[in-house]
Amino acid sequence: MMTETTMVFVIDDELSVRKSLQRLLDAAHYKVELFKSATEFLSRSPHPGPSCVIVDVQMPGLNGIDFQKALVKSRREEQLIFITGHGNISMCAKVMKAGAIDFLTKPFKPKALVDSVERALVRSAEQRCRTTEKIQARALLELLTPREFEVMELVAQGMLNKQIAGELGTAEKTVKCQRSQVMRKLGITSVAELMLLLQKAEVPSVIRTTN
Amino acid sequence: MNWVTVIWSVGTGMCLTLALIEFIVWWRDRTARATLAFAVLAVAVAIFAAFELALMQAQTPERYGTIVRWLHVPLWALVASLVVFVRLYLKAGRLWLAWAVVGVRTLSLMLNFIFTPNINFQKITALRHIRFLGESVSAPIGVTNPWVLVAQFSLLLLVIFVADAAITAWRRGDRRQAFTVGGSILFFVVAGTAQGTAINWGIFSTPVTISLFYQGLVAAMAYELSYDMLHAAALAHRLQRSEAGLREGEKQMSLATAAAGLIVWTWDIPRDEVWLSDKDRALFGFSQNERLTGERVRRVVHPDDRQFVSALVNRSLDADKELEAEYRLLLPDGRVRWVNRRGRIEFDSEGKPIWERGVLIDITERKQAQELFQLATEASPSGTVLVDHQGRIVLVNAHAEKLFGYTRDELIGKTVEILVPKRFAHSHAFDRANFFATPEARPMGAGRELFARRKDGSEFPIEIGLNPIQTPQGPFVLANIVDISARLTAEEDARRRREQVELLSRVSLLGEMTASLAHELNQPLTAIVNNATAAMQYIEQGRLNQEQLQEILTDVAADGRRAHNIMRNVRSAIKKGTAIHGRINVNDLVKVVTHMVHPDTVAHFCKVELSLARDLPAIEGDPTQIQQVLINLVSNAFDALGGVPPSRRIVEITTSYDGDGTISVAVRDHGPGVSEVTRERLFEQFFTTKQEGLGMGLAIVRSIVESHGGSIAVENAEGGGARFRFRLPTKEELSQ
Repeated sequence: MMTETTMVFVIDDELSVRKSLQRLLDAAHYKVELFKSATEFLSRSPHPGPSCVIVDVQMPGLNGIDFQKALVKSRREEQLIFITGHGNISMCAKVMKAGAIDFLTKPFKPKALVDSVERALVRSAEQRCRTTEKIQARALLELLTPREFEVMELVAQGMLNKQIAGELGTAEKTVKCQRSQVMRKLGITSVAELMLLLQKAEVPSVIRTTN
Repeated sequence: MNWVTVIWSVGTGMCLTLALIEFIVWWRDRTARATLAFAVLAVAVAIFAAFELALMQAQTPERYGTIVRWLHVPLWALVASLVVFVRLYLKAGRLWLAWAVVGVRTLSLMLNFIFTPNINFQKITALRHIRFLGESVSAPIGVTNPWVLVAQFSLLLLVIFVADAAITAWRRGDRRQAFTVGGSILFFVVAGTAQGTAINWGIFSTPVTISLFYQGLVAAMAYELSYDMLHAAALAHRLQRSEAGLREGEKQMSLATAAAGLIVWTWDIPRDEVWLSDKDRALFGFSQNERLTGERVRRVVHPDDRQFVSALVNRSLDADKELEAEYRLLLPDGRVRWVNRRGRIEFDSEGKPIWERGVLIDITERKQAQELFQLATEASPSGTVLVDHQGRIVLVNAHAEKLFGYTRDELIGKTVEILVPKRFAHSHAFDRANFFATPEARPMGAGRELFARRKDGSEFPIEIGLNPIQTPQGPFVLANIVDISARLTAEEDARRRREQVELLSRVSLLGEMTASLAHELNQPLTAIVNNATAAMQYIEQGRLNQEQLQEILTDVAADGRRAHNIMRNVRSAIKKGTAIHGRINVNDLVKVVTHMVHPDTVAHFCKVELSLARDLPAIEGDPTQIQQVLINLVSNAFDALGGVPPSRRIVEITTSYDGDGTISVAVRDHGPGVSEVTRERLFEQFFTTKQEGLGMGLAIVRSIVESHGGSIAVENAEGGGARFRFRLPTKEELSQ
């Protein structure tokens, strides 16, 4: 899955810390980009490939916590690793709940940081992958006519052609034709395949029904 | 016209008239006894003259003799009254001579009636008729009786008596009376006697005209008496005038007394009658005509003071002394007035009191002011003592009694040094003299701590305000004394509390400081660790060139220096904030700290035991810093006792003098003690064995101890537990 460039971003107001982190991550073969404030990072266009952000909690201007909130608000999905010189449990709990990968207090062990970075990048890659599949599945579902979509939904619910015909008030023959049309358009041959596709597309009604 | 009859009749009438006038005078003024004597004299002369006239007209020797005999009766009266007159009028003359004159005269009178026809003649043989003033009068011819010498001797004695009296009066200075009375009596008596004697002895043969001489005498006496009368009239006139003046004076006096609020009175003691002016009678509710006895007047006195006044008056009746007293009057309208009574009793020659004259002065206002003053003084929340210029206590209030433990009577009249601690008494007397030299209101002993002495000898701290008061009795000083021991205690408490707060805030400041310090230090530490790790990995990967390594090491060194600087700043901040240096009694500090950590002691179920050296020398330094050291060590000890059964949770603090110019303080716990490894690093910064420790406490402790020129060490005590001991040089050691 590592087809696109992986990036590690570091946001810390302290130059010496920034520089040392760059060296540390460089030694671990990561591509690193440094920012001295969260605002500076947000003004950069989002990186398309897998990425993670190491961010200091205590910073002038936008601090680490508020930075995390800003990312969630704009539906960005960068994986975050917090580092702090003076942390406490409630702060840690807050950022972890909001989806951070790790919360490290300075001085941390370099190995711990590198491990967290690796985990973050894996998760970032997975996430990117899931996103691609969803887009593709949804594109397929876009090809269906509204009637075909209705038929497809009822099929997914496990109805027989006769039942679908009764539900929609059409002839069984018509349903059979529409169903084969759906399968052809979606490029699948079985109901099981349909179910997988719908899961990837994250279509709410269908997921609800299957649950 | 018969001249003899006329002259003798006129003379008689004149004498009788004068006698009547003087008698009336005597009748009016019984004290004028001389006037009565004169009246008798004049009557005697008048009778004598009448007998004499009869003598001149006597036709037979027998009749002549009889008349002469009876003539002696008015003559006796004449002599006797003359003696009495001289005695009374001239207030002179020897008494025995007077009696001799009267006695001899009486004898001659008696002899006169024994002899026939009389004392003058043994026998009158015949009468001669002589022409006298154009009239034929009788003159005797006979044998002279030798006993007539007795009568003449009496007249001689009379002359001597009068002359003697006149001389005495003359010498006394009453020259006019001596001259007129003495001179005229001598002249007329001598002349009359001479004529009588001459006729008697037949030297002259003239009728007896002795009465004429005596009439002259009467006239002279009358003149003298009239002179007195004129004098009296002039005197009366003068008196009248002076009385008018007196009345005017009295009016002015009453005006003055009214203006001054004076009540003037006189007490006639034998008659027990009191004189008061009409105005004052009205004031006291007495009617104008009421007879005022001493007792009646005394009823004006306030019932509460009556006994006092009676006693006072009774006492004063025995002694010739000015009487002065102050008491209250209760006027009929119900008002109470304070008066000052001044009076003097006059005594007669026998020492009996006759008069008391006096004044009452209304002093109500002064008394009220005095009462107000007294009330104000009594109500004063501070002790008040009024002292005269000799340092004697004149007045104290109830608060002062309470303050000093003396009663009022024990203080009044004593010198104020009784209230001063004995060791200051001498200098206090000196200061007091100085104060009276330049009296001005000021606090006493400004800038000094003042102490006062109670009756039981105990002392207490005070504050005194001095106010000089000028009075007619001389200067006084009003001293207000406040017991400030409570205030001092409160101040001491406040100071201690303030120190505690200060210390706690310093401790919490230290906490904050170490927190931010941790953050500050974590940055360079992180950077150092990261750089070092990176370098090691580069080396592993074989891709570390010289240049890169140098760069990394430069950064590491910079970060190390930065960490060092941060630490140094903290230590200097700790030192800088506490530049207070003073003498410290470490024992006291230990007690204070024990007190301060008491809540912690209880919370940890611990017990703190003290073992403090006696006579521990003082050290010099910052008490709060030393307190901080103690607090740190004690709270470390508490922490060390966390896992120990409560019965062994004891922290011992020991102070001792090491004898080499240092004192040492040991804090020992009964916890697990310290391991060898731990002991070596215990005082290093950021070394901690505690879960939440920052590793700053003992580092700071050490820097404080070292900044005081001392040292600190830890050891495992025998019997278990750690013992932290720090040594500090004594003040004496430092100053050497």
